[in-house]
Amino acid sequence: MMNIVIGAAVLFLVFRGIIAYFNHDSGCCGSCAGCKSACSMRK
Amino acid sequence: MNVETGAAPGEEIQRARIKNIKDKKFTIALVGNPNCGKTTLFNLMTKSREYVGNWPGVTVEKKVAKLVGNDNVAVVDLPGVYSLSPYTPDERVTHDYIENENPDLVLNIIDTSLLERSLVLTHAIASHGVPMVCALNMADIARRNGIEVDTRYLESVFNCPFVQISAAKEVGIDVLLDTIAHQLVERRPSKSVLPEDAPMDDVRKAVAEIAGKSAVIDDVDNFSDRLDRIVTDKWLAIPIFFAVSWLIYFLSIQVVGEITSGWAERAVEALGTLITNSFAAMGVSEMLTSLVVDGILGGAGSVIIFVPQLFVLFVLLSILEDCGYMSRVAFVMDRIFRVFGLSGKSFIPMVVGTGCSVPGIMASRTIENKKDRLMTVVLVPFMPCSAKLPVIALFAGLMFSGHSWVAPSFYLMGVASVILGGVILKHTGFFKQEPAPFVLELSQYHLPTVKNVWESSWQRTKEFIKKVTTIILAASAVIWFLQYFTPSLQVADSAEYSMLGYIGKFVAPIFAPLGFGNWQSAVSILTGFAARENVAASINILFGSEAAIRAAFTQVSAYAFCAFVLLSSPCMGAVAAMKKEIGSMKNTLLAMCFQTGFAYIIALVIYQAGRFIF
Repeated sequence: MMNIVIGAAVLFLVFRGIIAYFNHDSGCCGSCAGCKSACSMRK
Repeated sequence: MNVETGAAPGEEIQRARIKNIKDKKFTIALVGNPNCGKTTLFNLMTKSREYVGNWPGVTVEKKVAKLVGNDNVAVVDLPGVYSLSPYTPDERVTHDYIENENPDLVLNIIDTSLLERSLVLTHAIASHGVPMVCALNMADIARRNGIEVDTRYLESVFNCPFVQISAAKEVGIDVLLDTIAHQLVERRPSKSVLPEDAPMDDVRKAVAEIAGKSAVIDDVDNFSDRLDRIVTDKWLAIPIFFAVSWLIYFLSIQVVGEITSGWAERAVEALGTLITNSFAAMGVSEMLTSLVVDGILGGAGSVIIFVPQLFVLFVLLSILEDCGYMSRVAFVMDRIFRVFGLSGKSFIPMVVGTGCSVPGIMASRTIENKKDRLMTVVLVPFMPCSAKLPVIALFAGLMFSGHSWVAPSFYLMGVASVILGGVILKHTGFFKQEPAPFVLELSQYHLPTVKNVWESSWQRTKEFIKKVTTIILAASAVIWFLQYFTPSLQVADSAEYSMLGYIGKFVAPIFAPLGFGNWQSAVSILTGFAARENVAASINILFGSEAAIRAAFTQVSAYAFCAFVLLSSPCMGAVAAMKKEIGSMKNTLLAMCFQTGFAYIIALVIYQAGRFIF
């Protein structure tokens, strides 16, 4: 049971990181100064 | 409207007035010369946390936010311009916005100490007849320097209100907001003494006359002038810059590193032991425990321990940026860069790039000359960004304990590589041309505000922590997976026979002449292409212990390794930014090949020469 809970938590964190990475690469991680500028330009 | 007293009587009523504009939606455009304090005022009016720096060209894109207390009023921060004729890409953003978007009001921010030059832009806006409010910023500094401005005279000339403020000290803001509220309702069109298409010589003559009549200037030899005579001195400027750079990196990487790295490492180790014991008690599988402890904690955890060092570095850099020293460095660098065919304007994006290459690459938009701009885009990633610092700090601590010159030397190596890379690029047919003239106003030195320094440092640190706890964490788990299993998905007897082991052994011979031909180093460099922080994380995961790292590197090969990580093609995020600025994928790939080839040669020279000497 604990294996499933911890495994799911790790998977969640990994997918969260992967999504953050691809958001960053598409120009909008929404956190760094460069991305903020890129976001405002796209808007 | 007195800058000394700040708010006028009835402050609450005045503040309430702008809050009560609810009939329709309004847009206020913030316009002004570069480095007049627009972003500081924008942050104040909107409670935003945009990056502020005491040099021109910090804002290269428009930024939009709602006015505090009134969602009906949008405030647009535009890049700094000297006139409304579009010249550079960032100037075009401002020009097009004023021409095409018809803002309800232009808030024209003027550096009071540079009144005459600022009035050229004031004339350009006023000749469009758009309702305007002029904020005479840094009025307190101007007054200290013996400049008194007759705002009533200026109001009569341009038919718009002039308010004296100090955005950095938050003085006069209530009066300004009240004046803006009046203007939004009244919509009094501004006017100029000359038509829009008047020749520039006539405009300059007219504004010189207006400035002469409106400002009384006592010729005071102020502190900034005296200090500038030293820090921009022909002989002293460069040694001072080197000393300041050395001090900053020495304090943050070496001194703070020695204080914090011990307990931070012990904290991560203790957490690892706690998780291992807890998981064992809960019956969690060995593989999952290894993933969490050796993979995630060993990777992301080994990078997060550098946060104190990075925070101190960001604080020190912010102080230098905010006080105005960095614009002097750009001025000094122009003299050196020009010898090698570069413009000092290229240095400003490089200063921005010490935080992250992405905004550094974007800051190159302030450069008018296209070839200089493209060259700057290619050279900015040579500077040590925050993601490269964990690698430098890791090796400085492990291999060069007690050698205080190591960490600062990489900053200087970045600057030297920019010069050398620029010389090489200038000799290729495409970039060969005279550097553009560099015009830079040296604004007055001022004491950095705690708020600005904190905002800037904390934002950068927060971005680093966020990246490590998301992207680097995921990458650490992937690296663990690839070094735990064989290509046939069996648990590997040793990491050497894992998927990563095979990839690493295939690539490693390329790096053998540079002194780090082991598969772990090769894989670490490859993972660094996704994000540079991965290099430190991979080194820790793949070697597994400090002793193993020390055994795999000599001091010379460790230094060559750091040099290669510093100078080789940047991470994917920066490459995406490079492509955006360069325009074509083919040229972006060429730029990446140049950067990586350059890094290879430098690392090769360091290792081979170092091996010969030591």
